[in-house]
Amino acid sequence: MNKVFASCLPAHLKPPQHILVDPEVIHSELTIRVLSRLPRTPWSVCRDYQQELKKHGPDARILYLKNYKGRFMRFCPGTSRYHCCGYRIIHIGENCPLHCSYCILQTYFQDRVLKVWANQQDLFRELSMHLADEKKLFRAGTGEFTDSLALEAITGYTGDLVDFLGQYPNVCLELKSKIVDLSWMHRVSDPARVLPSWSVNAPEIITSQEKGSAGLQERMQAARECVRQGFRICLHFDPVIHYPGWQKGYARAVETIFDYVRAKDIAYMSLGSFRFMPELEKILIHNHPGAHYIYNEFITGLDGKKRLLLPLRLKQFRFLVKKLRQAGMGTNMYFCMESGNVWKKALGYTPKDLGDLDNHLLRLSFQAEQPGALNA
Amino acid sequence: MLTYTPLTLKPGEILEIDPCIFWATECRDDLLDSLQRQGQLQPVLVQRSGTGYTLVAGYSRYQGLKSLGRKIYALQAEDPGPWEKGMIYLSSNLGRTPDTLMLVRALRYFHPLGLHLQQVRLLLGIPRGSRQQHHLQAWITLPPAWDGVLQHTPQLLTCAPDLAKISYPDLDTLLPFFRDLGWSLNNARKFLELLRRAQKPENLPLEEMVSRLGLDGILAGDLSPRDRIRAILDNLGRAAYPNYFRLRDQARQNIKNLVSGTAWNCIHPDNFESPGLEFRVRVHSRDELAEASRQLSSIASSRHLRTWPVYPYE
Repeated sequence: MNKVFASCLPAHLKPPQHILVDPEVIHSELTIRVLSRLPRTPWSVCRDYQQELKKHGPDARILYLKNYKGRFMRFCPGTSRYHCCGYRIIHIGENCPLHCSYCILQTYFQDRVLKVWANQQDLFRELSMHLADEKKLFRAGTGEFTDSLALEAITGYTGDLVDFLGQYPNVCLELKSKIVDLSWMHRVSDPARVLPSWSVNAPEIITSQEKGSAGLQERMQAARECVRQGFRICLHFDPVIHYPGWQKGYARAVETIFDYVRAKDIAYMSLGSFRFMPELEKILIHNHPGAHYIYNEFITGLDGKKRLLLPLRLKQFRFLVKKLRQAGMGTNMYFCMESGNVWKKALGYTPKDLGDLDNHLLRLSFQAEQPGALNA
Repeated sequence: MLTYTPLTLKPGEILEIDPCIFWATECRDDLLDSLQRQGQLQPVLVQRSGTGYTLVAGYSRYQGLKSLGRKIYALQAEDPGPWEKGMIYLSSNLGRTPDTLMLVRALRYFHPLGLHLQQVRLLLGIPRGSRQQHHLQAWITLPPAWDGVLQHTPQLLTCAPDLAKISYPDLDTLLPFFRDLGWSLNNARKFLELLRRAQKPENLPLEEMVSRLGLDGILAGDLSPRDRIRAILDNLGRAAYPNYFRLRDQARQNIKNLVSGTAWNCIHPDNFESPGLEFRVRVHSRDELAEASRQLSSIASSRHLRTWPVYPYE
């Protein structure tokens, strides 16, 4: 039914088989846009979500335009025993059309329904309150519970968001993604306040474990285009995966990155080893039987999550840090959810040396030289 | 509705036992005593087959009467099919509370017959959609030779979904471990998990891995069952987590040296996520406390602390 329109969608997006719309958002700008972009997809008003799910079956590709009633702006759910970057989440929806084997969303959410908060005016109202104090700086992003850009071709959500945030110079928005979509770019008023960012990995991990996502070269071509347009970018080596031949794979990833961008184009770069809530293991084995990396030496970390045994991940970190330093990276590299000891051993400095990680990243985001300029 | 004809048979006229008798048990002494004193109060059920009869229900009574050399009062059912026979048998045993093995045997009988399994589950007291149903369903996909394990380790039923994912040749290799040793549920789960992990990197057939790690030797060895289980899990753990075990052995030795000759107990609780150590001591008096305090000071200045006992950063 959707054949004609499906050809207009990017490769990572299969057209939804059905769209559910909450009654409160039938007339919202976003709903109208989505329905006009998917004119042949049947839609219905959602009065009972669970009933609708039963009706369509658990494997149906459903897009749910929801009247979201929770908090739109949140803190990153970091755990206390490891250093968190203090990123603020702007919550725009849940789930993702990509099929990354390691994706933690498989344990976060009960179903695979793509949910988009269609009551954007409520989001903007809440953001206005948070961002009203111009002296307070925010580093925020939308890529925590969904890919920031994977649904952009259908929703145009990020375009609206960057347009709205244009009036708040005290917020720097990071767009985390594994796909290529630059359609939001023309709506950015100040490229210094938007940080397009990509998750990067060894090419064979991208091919085998990040099904549906763009290849590393495509991501980096997009990154280069952003740099040409005046943006700085962010990159995230996360999750770093321990697999046979990882040295070669990650060396190639670093080479590829710097074939396209320079170290100074990168606002910051994170490194994070594969870690997961214990419940993910069974789901991963069931959904992705080819993901053999799960059979490595994972132990229970101080936060209750499973992590690769420290000496193994430290070896990977040291390897990557060395390669990245050779390519020109400096103190704009940080670890996602690691202890001060790991920082010290792999990077030679700790978050404390940088004046705390969230402040450090805030400075890097806003290109502020003086810590005193920050009141966050 | 089936019709029944009353008969009196000599034990030798019953030539076969029908597979529908899935809970066959030998005649108990009290039943034998009752048959001897009061005679047979309830008929057995038979079906005509060739020159004789096949027993469909009443196995214990039949065995008792046969041993007493008595004639058997029977009802002959008119050609019931396997399903009807199973239901007759189940209905005639409604007073019994089936254990795990009995449930498995009943389901193994009914499952290939397909229809109305819900009715069977109802009679067996298996709640619809329950975990128990899920586990039993998985168990009956295992080779029947596994059923005997449930006799001494019924809790293994909860591992059925994991066992059902293992190939038949691998299950054959695995069976002696469960047949010959009694596992706690926790250890059984650990065993299966470690097997899977140790097997994965090279995707070895289980038989090869068991022999490579010497697990078959441990199983056949002279250790107590408890120590055999411990040794099996240790060997498997070392195969699945070689780096972790290397660190653990080193740390244990270092810690042992550190607190040797003192009342202090020391552990590293963090799975090498930190160099952290925890010291514990139990004291019963002020004097013991003073002594423990002195010992702690001596530990703090011990030469064994020149290198910290837990150092996972290399």
